Amino acid sequence: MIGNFLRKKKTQTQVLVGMKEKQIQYEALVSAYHKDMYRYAYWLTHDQHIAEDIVQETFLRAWKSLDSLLDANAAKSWLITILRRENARRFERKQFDMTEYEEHNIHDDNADTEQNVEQQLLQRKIANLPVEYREPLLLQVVVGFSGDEIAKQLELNKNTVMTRLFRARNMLKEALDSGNSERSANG
Amino acid sequence: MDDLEFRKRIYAEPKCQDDAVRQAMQEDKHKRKFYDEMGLLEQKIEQALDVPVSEGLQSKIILRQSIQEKSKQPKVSKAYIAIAASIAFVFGMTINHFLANQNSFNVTEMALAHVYHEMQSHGNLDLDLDINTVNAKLAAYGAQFEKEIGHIYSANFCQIKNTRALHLVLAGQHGQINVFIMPKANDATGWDSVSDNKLTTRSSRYQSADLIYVAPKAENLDAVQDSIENKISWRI
Repeated sequence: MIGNFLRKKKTQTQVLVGMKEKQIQYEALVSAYHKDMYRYAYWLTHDQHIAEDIVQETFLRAWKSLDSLLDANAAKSWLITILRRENARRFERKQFDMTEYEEHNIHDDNADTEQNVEQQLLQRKIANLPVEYREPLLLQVVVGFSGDEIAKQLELNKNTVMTRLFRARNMLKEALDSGNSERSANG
Repeated sequence: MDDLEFRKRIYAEPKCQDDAVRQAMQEDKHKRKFYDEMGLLEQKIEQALDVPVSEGLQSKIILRQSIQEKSKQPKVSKAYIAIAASIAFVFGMTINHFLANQNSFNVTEMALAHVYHEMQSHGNLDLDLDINTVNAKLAAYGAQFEKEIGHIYSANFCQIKNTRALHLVLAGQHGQINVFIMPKANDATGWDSVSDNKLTTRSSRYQSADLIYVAPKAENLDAVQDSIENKISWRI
């Protein structure tokens, strides 16, 4: 029995060492990806607090199944998968009213320079893009996915993804162009 | 690559650098210009999407995970608590058992000692009691004699260990017969008959009381035991 006990203690030490490695791996993962994950969540939800919640839930789930992450290169898409599922779960839990995008959520420091006016217009337009156009754009710009990776993540074919990216930017460009011409006309 | 296709490509992927795109730009400066314009738009989009991240977020994430881990830890030590509890339990039982053994006493030996002691101090005592006086005292044990039991020298309460017993001294064929009636003494031992060179003993154990007989060796104690116990009735 004592032998058993000692043997158990030995494996426990190994477990502790394993735990420490896991902890280090986890903290590296958080450090590397929490900003991208937050921004992605923010542009999905339009709400700072909901986005933070989703990101925290995402990483907590990631911790629980960290052992299943074998390839460090796959970490990002693995996290995005968890995050998207977490966001979907939010809708299952209650009939969620889609939070209206509010400008003051975002930096509002020196509000009136022309650059800021343009940026705010752009942010509003991005927030109002239909989600099927917004999400591929976020995956490309915020997360840095290639067309193929986006297609895989969203389970779409690549042509569909490229068309949606084209339309998303087209809408934003038109909005900016008309915004600029309005300002020139007024100005 | 025609103009429309080029534009579609760049709209979908403004940072595209593949050979076909590069070649198209080299051949057509309008395409190059369009590429640069889209690059500017992309920069604006990047800036627009680059919302500030709260500084505490990283700590919050790690804190939540460590709290989660901590709340799981008691599971590990449950085994230790169980072992400690088992040890404490066994220890407690041992102590209990030890103390119980210390409490136990040999009832026959004590009765014998008591008889010898009384024989020395007031062996000649003869109160010639009637059965009613005895029954009044016996009532405390839920018993009474239904019939006469012969001459009764005395009937006194005495202490055997922590138990209060009624000590009857009756007349036998060969001298005095001592009967101790006592509440159930479960922690007592030594209920078997013993004899020394003068006296012999018997015991009877009833549901609510124990009886011990001490008489001279020559006395037929089995007959005495039968006779007494046929006359006694128990209310409890």
